[in-house]
Amino acid sequence: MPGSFPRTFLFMLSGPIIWAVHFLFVYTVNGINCARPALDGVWMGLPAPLWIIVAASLLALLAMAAIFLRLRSRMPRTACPGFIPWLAGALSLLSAVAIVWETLPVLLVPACA
Amino acid sequence: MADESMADVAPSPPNTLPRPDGELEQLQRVWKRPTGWRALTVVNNNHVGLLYIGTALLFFLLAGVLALLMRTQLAVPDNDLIGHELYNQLFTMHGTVMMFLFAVPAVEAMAVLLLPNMLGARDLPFPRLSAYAYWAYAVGGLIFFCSIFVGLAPDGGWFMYPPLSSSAYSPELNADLWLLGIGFIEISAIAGAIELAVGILRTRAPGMTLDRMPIFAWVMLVFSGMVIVAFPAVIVGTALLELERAFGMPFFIAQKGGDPLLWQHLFWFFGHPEVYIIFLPAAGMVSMIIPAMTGTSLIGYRLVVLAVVATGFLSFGLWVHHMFATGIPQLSLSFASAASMAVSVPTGIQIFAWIATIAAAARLRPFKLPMLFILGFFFIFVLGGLTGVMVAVIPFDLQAHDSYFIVAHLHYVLFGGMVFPLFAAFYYWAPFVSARALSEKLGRWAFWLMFIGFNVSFFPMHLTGLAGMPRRVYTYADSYGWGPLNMASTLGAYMIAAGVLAFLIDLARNFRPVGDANAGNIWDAGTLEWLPSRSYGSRSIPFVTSREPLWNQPGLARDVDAGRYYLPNAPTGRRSTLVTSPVQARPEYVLELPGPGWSPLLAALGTAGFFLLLTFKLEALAGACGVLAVAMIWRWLWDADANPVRPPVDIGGGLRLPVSCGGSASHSWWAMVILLMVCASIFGSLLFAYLFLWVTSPETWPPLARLPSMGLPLTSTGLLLGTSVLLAWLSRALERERQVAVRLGLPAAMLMIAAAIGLEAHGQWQAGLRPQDSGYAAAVYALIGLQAVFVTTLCFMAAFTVARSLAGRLGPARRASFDSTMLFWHYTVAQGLLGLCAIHGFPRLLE
Repeated sequence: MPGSFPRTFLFMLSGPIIWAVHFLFVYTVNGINCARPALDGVWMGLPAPLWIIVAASLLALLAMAAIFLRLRSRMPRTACPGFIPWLAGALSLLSAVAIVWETLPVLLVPACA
Repeated sequence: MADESMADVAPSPPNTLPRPDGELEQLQRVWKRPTGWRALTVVNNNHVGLLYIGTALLFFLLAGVLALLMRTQLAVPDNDLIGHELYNQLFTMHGTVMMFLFAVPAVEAMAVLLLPNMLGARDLPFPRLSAYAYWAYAVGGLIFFCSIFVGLAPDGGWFMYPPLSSSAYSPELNADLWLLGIGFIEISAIAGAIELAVGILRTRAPGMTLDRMPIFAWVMLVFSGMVIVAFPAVIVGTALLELERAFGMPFFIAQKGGDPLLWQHLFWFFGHPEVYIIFLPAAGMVSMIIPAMTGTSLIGYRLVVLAVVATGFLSFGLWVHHMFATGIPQLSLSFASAASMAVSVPTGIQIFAWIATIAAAARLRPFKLPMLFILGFFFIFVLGGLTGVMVAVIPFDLQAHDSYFIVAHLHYVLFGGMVFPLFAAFYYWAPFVSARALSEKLGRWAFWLMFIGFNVSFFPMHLTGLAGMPRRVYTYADSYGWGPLNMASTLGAYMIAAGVLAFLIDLARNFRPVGDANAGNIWDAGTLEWLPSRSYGSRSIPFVTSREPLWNQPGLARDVDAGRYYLPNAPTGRRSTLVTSPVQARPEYVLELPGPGWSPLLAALGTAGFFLLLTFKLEALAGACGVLAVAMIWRWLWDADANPVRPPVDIGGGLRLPVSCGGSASHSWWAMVILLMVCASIFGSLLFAYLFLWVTSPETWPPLARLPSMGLPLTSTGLLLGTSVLLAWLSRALERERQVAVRLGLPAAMLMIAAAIGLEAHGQWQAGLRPQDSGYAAAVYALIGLQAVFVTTLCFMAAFTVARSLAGRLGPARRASFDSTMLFWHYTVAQGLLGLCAIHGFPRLLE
C-alpha cells in the first residue's frame, strides 16, 4: 500500500477508531471491576474504575482533537478540496458524541448492580 | 503515471475515430461467455453476479416457505399440524437461511454484478475468487438446506446458544451441520468482501476520486470492512463450539471453567454488525435509486458518506444490547444502550438526506415502481427503527425480551430495511441486465400485496408480544386470547407470499438476461453502470469529472461506446482492466484478468464436500475432497503472475502503462493485507476468549508451578524471529535472482516455524495439561491450534513458491507468490509471539 494511503485512511477514520478502542477499554474495565472486586480502589469517595473510565473518555476526546488539528492540512486533495479533512472532522465529532453519551451512565447507574 | 492535474481537469476523449479494424471483434472474442457445459466455468462478474442473485433469491423463497409453514401452524390455538421438533427446525432454518444464505449473499451478489460497471471497471480484480465464493455458497447452502428433509436440520435457534446446542442437549448431528455448514459459508462471504474492497479502492475509472465515488461503492467498502472484522468472531465461535462437541474441549461448560456467555459475546459481536452489514448495502441502493427517480443529485452526499462510515463503526458497540437479560453488570449494559442511541443519529442523517432529495425532485410523479418500494421501505423501516430505540432502553427490553414484540421489531428493520430496497433494486436494475424491463402493472400488484401483507402480518405481533406470547413456541392455548392476532399475522404472511408470487410471474414473463442486449438507461440515471455495456463492461473506460457523469458530461455514453476513452481494446490479447490509485484514481497499471476455468468450481466443490462430509464423520471422503480443493486452488494460482515481463501498453491518448505491478502497489499485496486483517480479527477473537474465561473462571488458571518452564517458549520465540529474518534475507536474494537460496531457504524456514509450534504444544502436554481439562486448557490448545493452522497454510504457500521457482515462474519482476508468502509469514510470526506472550506471560503477570 504505497504512498500516503494508509495515513490518509487512518486519519479519516481516526475518530471512530478511537471510539472503538475507548468502548472496548471501558467495557473491559467495568467487566473486570465487577468480576474482581478485590482489585477495586476508592479515590475521593468514588470507585477507582469510574475515575479510570472518565479519564479514558477525556483522553479519547483530546486525542481526537489533537489528531484532527495536527493532520488536517496534510491530506491529499480530492475533487472537492477539503473532503477528507471534513469527513475526518465530522466522524470525530460524531464519535465524540458517542463517547460522551457512553460516559454519562457512569454518573447515573450503579456499576455492578 | 498520469499527469498530476488529472483529478481536476476533464480531458477531451483521448482516442480518435474511427477505431482500428478488428479492435472491437478482439474485445468481444476475449470476453466471450463460454457456452454448453463450459458455462459452469464462467468467472466474469456479470454472469457470476446474476447466478449469485438468482441463488440468493432461491434461498429467500425456500426460507419464506418455512415461514409460511410456521404461520400456518400458529394460525389457530392448539394446532397439531406441526410437532415441536419440526417446528424448532423450521424457525432455526428460517432465521439461518434468511440471514446467512439470503441477506448477506444477496447484497454481496448485487455488488458483484453492479460495482465493476458502476466504477467503470471491466471486472472485479479476482474473478476466480468470485466464482469460487459463489459456488462454495451455492453448493454448500443447498446441501445444508436439504438437511431439513431428513430431520437433520439444526434446531437450536439461528444463534445456537450453548448449552442448548452443546453435546449434552443436542447430541445428534443437527448442530454440527449448522456449525460446519454455516462456518464455511462465512469463508465465502469473507472472500467476496476482500475482492470488493480491493475492487473499490483500486479499479475505479480515472478521475473518480473518493468524493466522486457512488454511495453504493462507499457502502460496499464499509460493508467489506465490517465483514472483515465481524465475521471472524462467529467463525471462531463456531470453531470453538465444534471443538467442544467433537473433542470435549469445554469452552462453554460452566462446571469446567467455560462460560456459555462467551458464545453470546462472540456470536453477537458478529450478529449485530450483521444487521448493518445487511442494511447498509440496501441503504446504498436507495441512495442510488432516489437520485435517478427524482432527477436530482443526492442532497447531503458528504453527510451520507459520514453516516455510512459512522454506522459501520458504531454498530460494533451494540453487540451487548442482545444480552440485556443475561446478568451482565448494569453499567456495562448502559454503554451498549448509549451506543444503540448513538447509532440512530447516522441512520437518521441518511433518512433525512433521502427525504430532502425527494423534496427537491425535478421529476417524481407518477411514482415509478422502484420509488414505490422505497416509500414502502421508508414507512416500514422507520417504524422498525422506532421500536429499535424502544428495545435499546434496558427496562423496556427486559419486559419485551424473547417475546413476539422482538420478532415484530426485527422483521420491520430487516424486511423493511433490506427486502423492500432489494425489490426496488430488482425493478430498478433489471433493465441493466435484461432485454426487457419488468412490468409496471405486475410490479404494483407485487408491491401492494407485500406492503399491506407485511403490515397485516407483523404489526399485530407487537401487540401479541406485549400480551405475553413468547418467541419460538410451536403452539399456544386458546385461553391466552392470542388467536385473532395470530390469525391476522398468518393471513398477512400469505399476502406477502402472493406478492412475491406476482414478482416471480413478472420475472418469468419479462426478465430476459440473454446475450449482450439490455433495455438500457430507461430511468435517465447518471451513474456509470448505465453506459452501454456488454460482457466486457463498457467499450472504453471513461474519465470521470463528477458524481453523475452521464448527467454532467454530454455525449459521454456515445464517446465511451465508440471507443474514444481508455482501454478500448485488449492490448495484451487477454482480458484486462485499469488499476488506479486509491484516493485520486490516477491510472497506475493495466491488470490482466483470468478467463473461464474449471478450477474455481472444483475447488468450491472440494471445500463444500470437505466441511459437509466432516459433519457426517466420513473422514476419508472429506479428506479426498480437501485434497481436491487444495489441488484446484494450486492449479488456479499456478497461472497467476505467469507471463514473461511485457513492455508497457498504450491505453489511449498516448498514455502508456505497465502491464503488471509488483510490491506494495500491486492488487495482490492489497488483498493479502486485507486478508491479514481478517486473520488478526480471528486471533483477536480467540485471545478475547482466553481472557474472558480468566475473568469468569479464574479458579481454572494454573498456579505458576504447573506452567511449562520458560525454556521452550523462549526457544520457540527464537525460532519464530529467526524465520522472519531468514524471509527478509530471502526477499533480497530473490531480488538478485538467487533462486537456489529461495529453494533451500524456504524449506528451512518451514522446518523452523513448524518446530516452534511443535515445541509449544509439546511443552504444554509435558506439563500435564490436556485440552479437555478445563476452559483454560481448551483456550490454550485453541491458541496453539490456530497457530498450527497458520503454519500449515504457510507450508503450503512456501511449497507453492518453491515449485514456481523450480518451474521458472519466479523472479525479481514476477514475485507475487513470494511477496504474499512473506507477508503472511511475518504476520504468523507476530501472531505466534503474541500467543506465546499470552499463554506464558499473562498467568505470570497475575502472580
